[in-house]
Order: sequence, then structure tokens, then C-alpha cells
Amino acid sequence: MKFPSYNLTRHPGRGREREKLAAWLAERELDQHLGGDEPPVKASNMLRYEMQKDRATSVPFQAGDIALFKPATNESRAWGPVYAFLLERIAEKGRWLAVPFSRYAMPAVPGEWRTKLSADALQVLCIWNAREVVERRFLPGAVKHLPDEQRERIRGVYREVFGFRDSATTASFSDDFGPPLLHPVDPRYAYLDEERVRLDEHTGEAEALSEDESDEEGPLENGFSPIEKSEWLLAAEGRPKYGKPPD
Amino acid sequence: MLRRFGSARFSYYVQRYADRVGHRGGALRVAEAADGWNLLESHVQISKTRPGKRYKDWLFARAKRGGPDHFLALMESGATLLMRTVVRIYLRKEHHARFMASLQAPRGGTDGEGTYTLEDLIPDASAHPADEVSEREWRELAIRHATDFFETMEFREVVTLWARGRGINLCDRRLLNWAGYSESALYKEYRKFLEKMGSVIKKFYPEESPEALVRMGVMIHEELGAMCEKKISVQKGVPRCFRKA
Repeated sequence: MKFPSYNLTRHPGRGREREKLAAWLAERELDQHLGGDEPPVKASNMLRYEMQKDRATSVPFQAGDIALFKPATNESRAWGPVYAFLLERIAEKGRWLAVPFSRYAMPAVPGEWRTKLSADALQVLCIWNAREVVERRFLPGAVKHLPDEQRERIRGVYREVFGFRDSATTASFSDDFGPPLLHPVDPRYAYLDEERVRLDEHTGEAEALSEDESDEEGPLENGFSPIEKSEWLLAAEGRPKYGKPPD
Repeated sequence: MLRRFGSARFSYYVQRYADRVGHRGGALRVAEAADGWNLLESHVQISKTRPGKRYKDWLFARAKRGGPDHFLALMESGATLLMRTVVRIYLRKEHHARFMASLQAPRGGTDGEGTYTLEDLIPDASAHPADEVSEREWRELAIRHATDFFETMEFREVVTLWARGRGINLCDRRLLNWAGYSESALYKEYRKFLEKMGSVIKKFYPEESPEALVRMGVMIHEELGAMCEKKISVQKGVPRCFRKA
């Protein structure tokens, strides 16, 4: 059996998408090579730094600020400090719509966007992972404030990613988004899972999940109800396969 | 003291990287190790202003959680974590030429995972059916294959593909508690299933291009996601948060 025919025409954008993916994979592989057991810690008196309450800590956050999350409760899934851009305040809930920054310097997927900011920790925004976050999850005081123009640009990108499409923005932002995710075994799925968990650990959602378990109606025994099990066993007896295997 | 600490940790990570990629001296110079702490300050800070150096507050907040007995050890482990990030940035910027790869070069393959190429991950767009008729034929083939797969799938596979289709994290505790499987079991199951699907597609269409096979795999995956959704939606005990409105 053959697939239906299709036209062989080259897509001009694929080269750039592959380049971006290659750059992202390179950094990902590098990160994985560096991972593993951390070096032994020998506590000493070498670090002396007094946390001071400077003026910035008393200034409330405003839209356009970049905030730093308080350290995660489970550091093994956090990989260091996490910065977030505060897109807007959701007044009635007392929360912020926060867009986290990626660990990496290249956008991994179409939901990530290269900011072109100079700081290494602020290179890529994970728009897809934006969340509503309570203010107490952040360390007090903004790390940086982006001007209104940049804030509006990020808002445009946010709208783009979440489907409020605007053709004018699509054209200007397209090269700054990550490459498409097409293959079912793409290693970026693992990265996306890590990033979700990483943010859960910082926003308190990881803790809330365990409290939320009462929400369930009770687990299935071994994943099956008795009727299901018999149905599945019957199905497993097999049927003639579709198509002929090759000789 | 800080310089010595920075230098030691910097060298540690650069050496770890060199060992793991089988680097034999030469190109990967570690002369910068002496400036490890300076590199940390320049790569980790957001700006030279005090708010831009709030990573120090992060270090202290992290260390305070462990109480006075563990304070210094936690400070050191936090700084080590930062240094790992610094080494990653340093290697990416200074040794980027090493990471150039061809489209067909196999990548991955660590921890028992399969390998893939850039061409596999982003196939040529030309492999997509160009017109409506072929799209329909492709889809029909995919549905028939998906139906065959679905009939022989175990519940664990159904849960895994359903979760993937819905964008639910395979480490999500609500999912794991409900389904009664471990996180690693679901990941393994997913990979095993994909490998099985891949080998079946290859067996059926040995003469087709890799792009066409990937395209067929993606379509089957989509169809299976929809079938699994139906199956799961009638299950009892599905956490409310996973139900569709």
C-alpha cells in the first residue's frame, strides 16, 4: 500500500525553524550534561551578605515589572531563581497575571518568545506557561521595570499565543517564536513538563494539588473497573490487522 | 574566599561537561575559572543596580528556610546551583561551534531513549498532503490504524495518550493518584507505545520517506487522542479538574 501522492515543494521557513531547534537542543543537551549529583557542600563562613530592606521592597508591584519568585519548596525541580513578567493585575482576585522566563536562551516552542533583553535570565518568555499568581509568592520589590512600549509588545505576543490573533503582530513576531512541535517523541515535551512543574513549585500549585485530592471520586482499582477489564481482555484477543505487512 | 569558591565550582562543572562529552583537552580552556565568581555576578544579575542583583535575596531566602544549622550549607548549595547556570551560559556562548549538527545526525539516545534527527523533528513541509483529497485519504488511513491500535491498547496506554492529548503533565499528582501509576511508568509507557507505533508504520510503508512516516505518526496520534478522550470521559473517578466543561 502506498500513501496518496503529494507535491514535492520546499518550504522556505523550515531551514530557519531547524536552525532555531538545533540551537535550543544544543543548550538543552549542555544542560543535561551538567546535571546530576551536585558537588559536596562544605559549609564555611565565606559568604557574608546582609539582606537589607532597601526602598524598593516597600514599593508595590505595578504592571510591567519583572519579579523574582521566592525559592521553591522543592528545589530539586526548580533549577535556580525564576523570574516573571507581571503583565497585569487581576484586581478582584488580588493576583497578577505572571509570565515566567525560560531557563534557556532560545525559544523552544511556538508559545515561547525571544525578548531581546540583555540579561541572560530574561532572554525568553514562556507565554504558554502564564499563570495567575498571588503577590506573596514573589520576593518583595521589582527586579526591573519595562517601559510601557515593551509591556504593550508583550501583551501583543500574549494575545498572539492565546489565539486573539492580529495579522499585524503575527508578521512582526514570527521569527522570535520557537519552532513548531510536530513529532510525538520530540524531547521538548519533557522540557514542557519540567517547566510546568517548575512553576507549580513556585506558585504553590504543587502544594494545592495534594489538598485537591479530595476532589476525586476515588481511584479505580488497578486502573480498571471490572467491566472495563473484561472488555479490554476481549479486545486484546485480537482481530485481523488492517493492511498487509510487507513481505 | 568568594573567588576561590567560584573558581572551584566553575572548574567542577566545566570538567563534568568535558568528561561527559568525551572532550580531550585543548579547545575547552578553563582559564576563565579564575574569574568564576565574576562570571557568576555578570551572568546572573539582571542589571548593575541593587534590584538587579536580587538573586542574592533569593539565595538568602532559600538558606533561611533550613534554619540556622543549615544556613551556610544552603547558601553554598544555592550558589552552586547558580554556578551551574553560569557554566551553561559560558559554554553556550564560548563553545557554540561545537554544537553545529547536520540535519541527519542522530541526537538524543541518553538514558535508554531513542535517537532522532532534526529532520525527524521538523520534517519538510512538502510531506504534508497538498490538497483536500489526499488529506482525506491520509486521515482515513490514520483512523484505520488508530482503531487497530486502540483495540489492543492497555489502560495505562489509554491514560497516557489521553493525558498527552489533553496537555496534562504526566507528573501531575492528580493524574497519578487517580490512575494509580507512577510517573516513570507513564513516561516509559508513552515511549514504548510510540516505538511500537513507529515500527508498525515502518512495517506497513517501507518505501515511504521519513517525513511521510512522521506525518502518518502524528495523525494516528491525534486520532488516538480523540478515541482515548471518549474512553476516559465515561470512566468513573476522573478528577473533576480533568473533566471537560
